[in-house]
Amino acid sequence: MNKYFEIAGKKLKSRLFIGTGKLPTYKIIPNIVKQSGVQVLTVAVRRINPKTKIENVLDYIPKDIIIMVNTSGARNANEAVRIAEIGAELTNSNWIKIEIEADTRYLVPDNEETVKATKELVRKGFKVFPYITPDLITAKKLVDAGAVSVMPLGSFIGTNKGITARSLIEPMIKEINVPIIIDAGIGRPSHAADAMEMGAQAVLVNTSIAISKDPVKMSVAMSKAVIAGRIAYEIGILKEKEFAMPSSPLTNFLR
Amino acid sequence: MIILNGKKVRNPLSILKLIKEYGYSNNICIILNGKVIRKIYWDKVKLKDGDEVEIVGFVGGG
Repeated sequence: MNKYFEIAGKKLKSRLFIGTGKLPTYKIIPNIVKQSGVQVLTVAVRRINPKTKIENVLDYIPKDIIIMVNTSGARNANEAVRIAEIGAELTNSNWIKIEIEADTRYLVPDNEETVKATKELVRKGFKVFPYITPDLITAKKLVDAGAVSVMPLGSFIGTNKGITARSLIEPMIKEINVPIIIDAGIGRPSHAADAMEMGAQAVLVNTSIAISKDPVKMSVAMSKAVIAGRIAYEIGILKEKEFAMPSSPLTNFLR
Repeated sequence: MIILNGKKVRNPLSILKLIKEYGYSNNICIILNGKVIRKIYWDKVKLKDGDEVEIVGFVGGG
């Protein structure tokens, strides 16, 4: 396997990005990092109401980790830009995942607003990772706008269904010249391997690690699956065939 | 009155007093009228009536 992959000017070893939402406790974050080798973690920004004691997730993220601030909660481009600016001010990271959702049932991203926010944030010097409903044309617009990656959802967020949007993501992997990171829907290691076998450059996994009975071990399982899928992709995956092909020779039987 | 996280409240007159009065811990970020106020300035910044203050923090998120 290639030792590194390049994204947003960084050379990364790990093609697994992990979201920190829904973890039972932030205290396990250092162990997740250590065991899985993950190098990029996502966090979110929220209003804190009086008298609520909350822990700051940043206190638990090791120093060498790249923090990607997620604009989740934003309903339009303006709100996303604002969250991005707050995030950058406080994390010293300019990696931003644009997540704009106007639909509360399926939580599908608003692609049009995402393109708008991407243009604005690229202009402001951010490394923009837009999260979209898979669509080749939107992806092309995002690349033109200066996005460093495009992140199509594999399935609706938190559904653990795997890459159900496969046929929409495949053309993006072929046509788009920035890394495609499949985000959302990855519910088990085989889904992560599947994403890598398809040729995605990386995956972002949150729910299926965070709410598993053992998030640390699950992060390891996901990490190994990502490596396995990537190695196979780089070697070349064999085509499916319609008829049986014997694995042993069919001649010179012992009779 | 100031607007704290979208709600009108009595003006505590300074950021430091606001933090004490509302029982915030240090793990927060303060945005005054759209601008982030860094922690080193918390004891210096006064609040005027009508100021919009937002208190945000980082939480786990995907």
